Amino acid sequence: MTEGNNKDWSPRIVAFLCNWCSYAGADLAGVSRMQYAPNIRIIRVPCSGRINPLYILSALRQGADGVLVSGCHPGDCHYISGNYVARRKFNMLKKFLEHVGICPERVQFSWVSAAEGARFAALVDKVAEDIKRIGPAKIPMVPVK
Amino acid sequence: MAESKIDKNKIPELLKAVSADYTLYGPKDEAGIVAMGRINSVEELMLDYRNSTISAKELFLPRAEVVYEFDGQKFVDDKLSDEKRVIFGMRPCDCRALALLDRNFDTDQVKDPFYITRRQNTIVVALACNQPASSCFCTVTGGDPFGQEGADVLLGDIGDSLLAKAVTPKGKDFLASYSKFFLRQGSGNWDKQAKEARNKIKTELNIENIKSCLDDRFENDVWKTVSLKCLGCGACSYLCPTCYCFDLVDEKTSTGVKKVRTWDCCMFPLFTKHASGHNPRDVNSARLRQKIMHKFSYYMERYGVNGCVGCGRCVRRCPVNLDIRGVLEQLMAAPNIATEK
Amino acid sequence: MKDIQEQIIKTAAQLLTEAKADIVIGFSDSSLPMRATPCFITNADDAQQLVWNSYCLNNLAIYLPECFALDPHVKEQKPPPKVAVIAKGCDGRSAVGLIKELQVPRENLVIIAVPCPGMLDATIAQRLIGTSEIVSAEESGDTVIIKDQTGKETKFDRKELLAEACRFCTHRAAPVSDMTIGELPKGGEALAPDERFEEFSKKSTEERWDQFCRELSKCILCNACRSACPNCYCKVCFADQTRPNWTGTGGPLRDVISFHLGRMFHQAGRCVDCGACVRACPMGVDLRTFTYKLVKDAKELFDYTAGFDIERVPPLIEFNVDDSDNFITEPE
Repeated sequence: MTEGNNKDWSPRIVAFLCNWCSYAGADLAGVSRMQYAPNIRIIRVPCSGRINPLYILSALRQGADGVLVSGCHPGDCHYISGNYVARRKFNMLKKFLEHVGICPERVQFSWVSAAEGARFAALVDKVAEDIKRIGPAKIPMVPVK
Repeated sequence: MAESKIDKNKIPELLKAVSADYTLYGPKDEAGIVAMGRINSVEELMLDYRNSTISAKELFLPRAEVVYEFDGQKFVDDKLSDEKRVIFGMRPCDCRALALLDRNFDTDQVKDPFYITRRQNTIVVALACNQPASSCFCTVTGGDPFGQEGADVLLGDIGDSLLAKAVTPKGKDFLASYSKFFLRQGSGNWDKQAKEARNKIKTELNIENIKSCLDDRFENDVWKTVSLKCLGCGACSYLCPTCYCFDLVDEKTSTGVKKVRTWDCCMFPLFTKHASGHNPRDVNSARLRQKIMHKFSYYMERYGVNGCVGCGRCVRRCPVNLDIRGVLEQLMAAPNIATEK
Repeated sequence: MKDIQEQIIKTAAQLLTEAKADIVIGFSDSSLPMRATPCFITNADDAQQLVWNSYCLNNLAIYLPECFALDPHVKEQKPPPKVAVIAKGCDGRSAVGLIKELQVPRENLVIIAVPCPGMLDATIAQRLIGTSEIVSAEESGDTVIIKDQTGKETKFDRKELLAEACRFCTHRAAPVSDMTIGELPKGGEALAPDERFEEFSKKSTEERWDQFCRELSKCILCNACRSACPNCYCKVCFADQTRPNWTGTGGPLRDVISFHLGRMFHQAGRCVDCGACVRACPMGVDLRTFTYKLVKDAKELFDYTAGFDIERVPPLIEFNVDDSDNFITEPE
């Protein structure tokens, strides 16, 4: 949230996970006692298709250092096509945010199924690693003149 | 008041001396937009400007300011800024706008500490207007390109030098403390210059009876006609030097809450929307009516003057060229029959 | 252009007399030099007010949804009016978008397609002239002679004064129309290369972010961009919602940024690149450098250009099983 390099800083990552696959995948990682970076705060949503781009922008505005979005693998959506529609939206959003100068590592998208506890743990580790590398978010808090 | 003049070559020296004692603000070009900004080096100041794109009101009423902050345990003591400022080269219309804002923020009943402190800490050095734009109409609303209302010092450009006149005691002290840059002299050709400038304002509009005229036409369908092309944006209000409406918003901080005062605008539907969801001004025509009525009727009712200084910013920057002069003309020409509801 | 103006007047008068339209939306003379202003003609006698010149910049499609809006003050709604609109390429494409999104009933709309030569922007001209105010402008062929307050005349090539969006426009004719006036220029869905945009895209992430923040710090949140955009017809804009509040108080720059990111991304796959937002902005914020990305991506990713094919479903509400997955993070 604050700029500059603080030694004690560790990233805060907001993760939007779909109820049917990715959240269950996270649960599996938990009950299997897998170790992964403690930097994520999970928000459960019904489907990746439910994720309004404003959720992601809002997380960044309120000081999240990173955002992770994950849903069912294409073809496996509980609602048949929610993640297909979401995929187009996410693709454009990711490229748009990158265009205005938000690091591509800052907002990441993935697919994790209910059986992929290990993939979830690896994913969180990777995202946390990426964000530690690029440092705290630089969304300016300064008041406009 | 005593008059003096300063050679234009001496202005950089004067400004250097001033900026040693005060924070200096003035017209400067910020990426194609002329704004009253902080002058860090004298070269930034642009005195051959017509008028700034955005008015100087944000120096007195910032776009957003914290009214108070509560950190979860106690109120954070946020001292009012004691920055001493000089605004150099403001146009007389904008100075007059300050005088109008004073009527609202510095009254017997209400004293706004934020506004008043900034006003007291600021010396306004006005620069009379020799080249009014075709969209200017200050003389119509009771102003003057050489007007001095709201200013502390008035400067007038007479070619190779500037005439200076102290308007207030504050301005007199200001001129006295920098007197080594000025030459004493009697009354220069102020009057001639002022008359010439006045004649350059081509807008012909008589708004003497505007208040009663608007009051009679409150329910008239003409409002619907004039507002047809209005987009309902706030460009006019946000550029306007006298529009002061604000909103108070609570913002959560990590431990407590902040109360923030932000600019707001009667052209936005949200401005009047009730918590119940009902909106008394739910159509654009009602909102435009409010804007015009506030400037030319309610202001007159409360403070005895028009709430418009005729700077012409809204005319120049309206995305659809909804010219306020034309709107007033149309309203005055409308038949005075209150439409049956 | 004079003969086109004559035909517009004639057509408008005829439509109104024959009751084929209740209202004609076009342009009339404005109070400022090098400008025209939107006007609404309901009476055949008033059709004389209509003009057609190089300054008819506004996107008139912005007024269409409002024409069909229900009146909150009456119980018995009038039947929807027949609305005729003088349409350049961009007005036409925005109208197609509004028809597709069910904001405007096609059967009540009369699109009068007129050939657009690319419109001239008074703000650009004033910037080139400097501090002396523009008094008048005259056009002959591709030359524009601008007279300023000092009496000086400056010659410009028409291209120099084109509004930014017009400079890169490759489709100057409305894709769907009920009537046409004059000879419509040909054009396709292809996008013209834009060097300034490409230059920005090549910059480093940090440089792009700095420029983005610098541009948006000029914003005063007057909402002119939103109000001028024909696509921004939401009854309640996300920025006006209070539960939740998406954009904060508007005080810190991050709030301004979140407003603009949200508003711009809402145009993804819908923006017709008419430039209305840029021209409406009183502070000269260069929004197009950012919004054009959405136009370009819609074309590159989904081969979709907004406002052309009235039958085609907008890209973000359909999908293809084979859509690109290349932005997905793989943990290994």
